[in-house]
Amino acid sequence: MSAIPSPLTAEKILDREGTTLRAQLLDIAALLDRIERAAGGENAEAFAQLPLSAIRELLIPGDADRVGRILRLYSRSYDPAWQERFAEEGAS
Amino acid sequence: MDYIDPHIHMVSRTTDDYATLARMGCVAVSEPAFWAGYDRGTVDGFRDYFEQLTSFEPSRAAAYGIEHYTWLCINAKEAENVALSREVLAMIPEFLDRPGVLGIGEIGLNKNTPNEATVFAEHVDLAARLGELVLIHTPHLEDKLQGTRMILDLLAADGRLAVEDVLVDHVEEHTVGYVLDQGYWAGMTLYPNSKCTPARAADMVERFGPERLLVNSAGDWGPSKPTAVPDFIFEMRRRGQTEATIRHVVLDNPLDFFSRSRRFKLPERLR
Repeated sequence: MSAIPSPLTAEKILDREGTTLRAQLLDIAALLDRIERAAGGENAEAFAQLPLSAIRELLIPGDADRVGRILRLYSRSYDPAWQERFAEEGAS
Repeated sequence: MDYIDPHIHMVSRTTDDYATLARMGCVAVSEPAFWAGYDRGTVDGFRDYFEQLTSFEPSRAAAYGIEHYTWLCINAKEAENVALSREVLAMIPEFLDRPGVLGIGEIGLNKNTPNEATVFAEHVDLAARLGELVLIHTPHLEDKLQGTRMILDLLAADGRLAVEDVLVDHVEEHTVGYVLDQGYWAGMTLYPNSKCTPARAADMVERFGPERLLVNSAGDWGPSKPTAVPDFIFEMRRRGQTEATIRHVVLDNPLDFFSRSRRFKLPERLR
């Protein structure tokens, strides 16, 4: 598999998508505010760990794989021995 | 630009969508058998559905100059019913030689259960025995990574299908690498909220290259956008990607994959 270059520079991408980024950040901010305003909102850290952890992933640079990291955070774990486990469950 | 939507459920769409797709350059649609939104009760329900997919729906598409291909199976959600699944599997060969049938699909996993895995393996066995292409649904949301890896394990355990004969669909950034590394075709589904966007699909094409990547809308009875593939074309053009690269993903790759079916005929508009 060979990557193909992006025709746009980093600065050009931000220039082009900056308004969209602003809008998406405001949507996230508004949602977090809505949660905080609602009853029980003061305990958001306790019940909203997953989305808050995902937001923290946004700030970790370097691998250009924020999307992959957040998707993995939201994923059930894979057990390489699942076939053996299914066979045992089927037998019992 | 001429394009193909390799995964769209036109039985659940009106002719307005065919009219729009025809105007936006769609030359063909490929429609896998799927979950209708409720669990069918009998094998005859599936027989009627396969009749619709292989006779009525192609005529609806033809009225708009669009070629219609289809795939047959019992989908992952209804596969939890193993007894019904086996009745449907036994009935599939009655329809396989109808014009436009490309193979077995969309099989896969839903909640990654033992029954689903059993029925998936039996579909793979059917495809291997009969020399059919396979189109695979990977689970939604939190089940996708686990289910995709389980699917790849099951394909490897069987070992009879050529990797070029298998399309693993609905890949996202955390699964696409596994699929491409093992040599399969990978489909990116542009579907609101639960799957990918045109921009993220364009990112994956840039990161992994255009080989063996396809894009589709998976337009169905839920909130979805049958014109998602043209949205992807537009996004790629906005970035300055070449027409050749874009065409490779939206036309050449689907044609290369579909042409591996002995029943495939080129869309009339491309002959």
